[in-house]
Amino acid sequence: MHSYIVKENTKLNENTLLLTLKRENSERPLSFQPGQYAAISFYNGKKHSPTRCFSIVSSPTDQDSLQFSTRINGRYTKALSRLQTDDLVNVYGPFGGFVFDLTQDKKTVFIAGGIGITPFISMMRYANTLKGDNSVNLFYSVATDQGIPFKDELIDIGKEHPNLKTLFVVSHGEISDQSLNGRSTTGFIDYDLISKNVEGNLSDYKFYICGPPPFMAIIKNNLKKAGILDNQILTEAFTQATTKQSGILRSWPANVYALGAIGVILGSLIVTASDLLRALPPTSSTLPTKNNPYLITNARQEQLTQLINTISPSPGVITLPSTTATQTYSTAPSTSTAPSSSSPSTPPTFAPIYLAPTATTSPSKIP
Amino acid sequence: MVYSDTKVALGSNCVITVSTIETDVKFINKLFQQLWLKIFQFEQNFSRFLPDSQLTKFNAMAGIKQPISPEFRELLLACRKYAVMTRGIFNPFILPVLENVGYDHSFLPGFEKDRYEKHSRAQLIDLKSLEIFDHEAFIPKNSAIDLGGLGKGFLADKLANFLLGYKDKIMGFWISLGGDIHTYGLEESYKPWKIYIEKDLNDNLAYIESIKDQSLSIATSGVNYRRGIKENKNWHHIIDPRTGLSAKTDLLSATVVGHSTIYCDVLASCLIIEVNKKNFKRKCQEYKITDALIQGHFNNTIQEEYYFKTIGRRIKINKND
Repeated sequence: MHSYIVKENTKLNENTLLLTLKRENSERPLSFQPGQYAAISFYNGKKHSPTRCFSIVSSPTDQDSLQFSTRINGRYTKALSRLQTDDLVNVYGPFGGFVFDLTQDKKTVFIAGGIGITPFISMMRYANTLKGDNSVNLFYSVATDQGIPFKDELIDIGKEHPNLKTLFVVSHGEISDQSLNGRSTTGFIDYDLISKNVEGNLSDYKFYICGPPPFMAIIKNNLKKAGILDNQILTEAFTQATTKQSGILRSWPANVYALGAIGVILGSLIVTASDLLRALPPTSSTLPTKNNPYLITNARQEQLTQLINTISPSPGVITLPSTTATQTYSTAPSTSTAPSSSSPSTPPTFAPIYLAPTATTSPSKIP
Repeated sequence: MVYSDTKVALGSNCVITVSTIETDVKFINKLFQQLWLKIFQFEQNFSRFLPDSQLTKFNAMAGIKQPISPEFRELLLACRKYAVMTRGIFNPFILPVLENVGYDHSFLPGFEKDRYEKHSRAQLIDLKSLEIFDHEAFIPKNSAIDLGGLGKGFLADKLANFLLGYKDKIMGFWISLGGDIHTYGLEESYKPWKIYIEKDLNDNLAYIESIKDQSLSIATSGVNYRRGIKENKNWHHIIDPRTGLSAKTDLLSATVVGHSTIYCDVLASCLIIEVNKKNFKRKCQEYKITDALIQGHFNNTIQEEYYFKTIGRRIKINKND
């Protein structure tokens, strides 16, 4: 489990939420791959909420914050939209094999239906940050041209890196938004539309599809009829109603993939058990004590941070700490520098010790 | 004037000693501060026992091409260089094996229970899988690297280069980073520094004298440190990547002397893995080692073997002063 706090809670349009979380200083970052999702729960002031899964929209390269986006259409997401800055959110995971691999997937077609855009945002941000030479073609199906989540960001990415293209496909009504000129069309996504807008042979491409189940089924059937092989298509079941996921799962044997659903169920049980445990008062054996303060955090990391801050109060500028202004004179090297668990916060000193000419200057080897 | 300071860093005691004609206390303090800052920052960035180090984050994201710092890139390039030179006997991908044999916690007193990301489920793989780009690097999913002694050697050389920038004020120095020593020049009274090679806790095997206006690196690897018992099996921290276990060896320690600490450190560990009494000199020639000594169980007794081509009279065998 990773603890985060709410940094910002905004709406991308009237029913789409963008939740930005900030890592607590002592917490290690969540390691995930672009396209994966995580389970979150939060504290609403009275009790801990149940846990729900959401796609991560931030890039894995952003180690300090985590973003989720979802459509607000139920009690849980409404409660989520009411979270305030600095509220605590617990994050579990990451989960899922709907993963974009920059080193392997050189030619890709991403097909998003509505809020199914979220895993692709993480992938596009990741590809944009690492400036890979991959050819990425995102087909983003939206109902109308109004209030499209992440529209401006995708257009900006396309301008910055012409190999990361987005085509907005508006299924209902005309396109009046001028910013979509040259980047949009009306109708539905199918093989013909993709082949007209993608360079080269489509048999060289890998297809990622995410959206409502009927949307994915129609597009997958259409692609297969046009000759795209099953192992070129990766789909993400983007609903709480089904856990079915199809296609290849990178780096894993196929039979392991089949066990993924069991893993998710077990994961949920673990999360539930962890929720229960958290509701109980902590026992003395899990709390840091005066005698053993290192049970919870990494003490050496904290000590190093303290040492470095003491030497260099402002980054890049080395100044003398007041404790070192006086030279220490001694006839033997200091030997009492081993850390003591009972006094880890003793202020360090940095004055070297002057060795009188009679003192030994012979170091012995410490293998 | 000779100034010395000892602090705990990189998992052991580190010592910096400088002989200088400079009498300005502020200058000396500032010099030592900068050296310690470099050491602590290096540990903060490249220790596998710290959850926020660059190395830990890099391992956690295995399977993804990741941005790396220029210093990390230099270290990875050094890993590749020495893996090629030693034909895979040096392999940074041994981290999962290290944790599985028992080296799964810091040995620093007071910090043994520190929590950090473990990789015991990852695989020991060949270094060919490490891809290094201009600003990024890639290791396969289910793999993890540890810089080990190579990192200390790298840092010792960097610190020495930093001090050599003050040649006009410094007559000599020695930097000891837990087993890796880089020495330069002479002490205050124009006598050479004496670097002792430890035989056991109470005795020294030999000492080596430093040279005026020249650098000398000495690194010792041994099986008597960083060791333990796990599931009734003895383990030590020098892993043979060919077997995926602690190296099976007659040697207790191997010391290599040269002009680069990183080179000495890597090859001292390789000697532990590959060498016995018979092939010691041949292996030294193969690796182009000019000066080395080993100590081990030979013919049912603890004996030493020496191979000195260049340092000659500057080494004193079995003498304590």
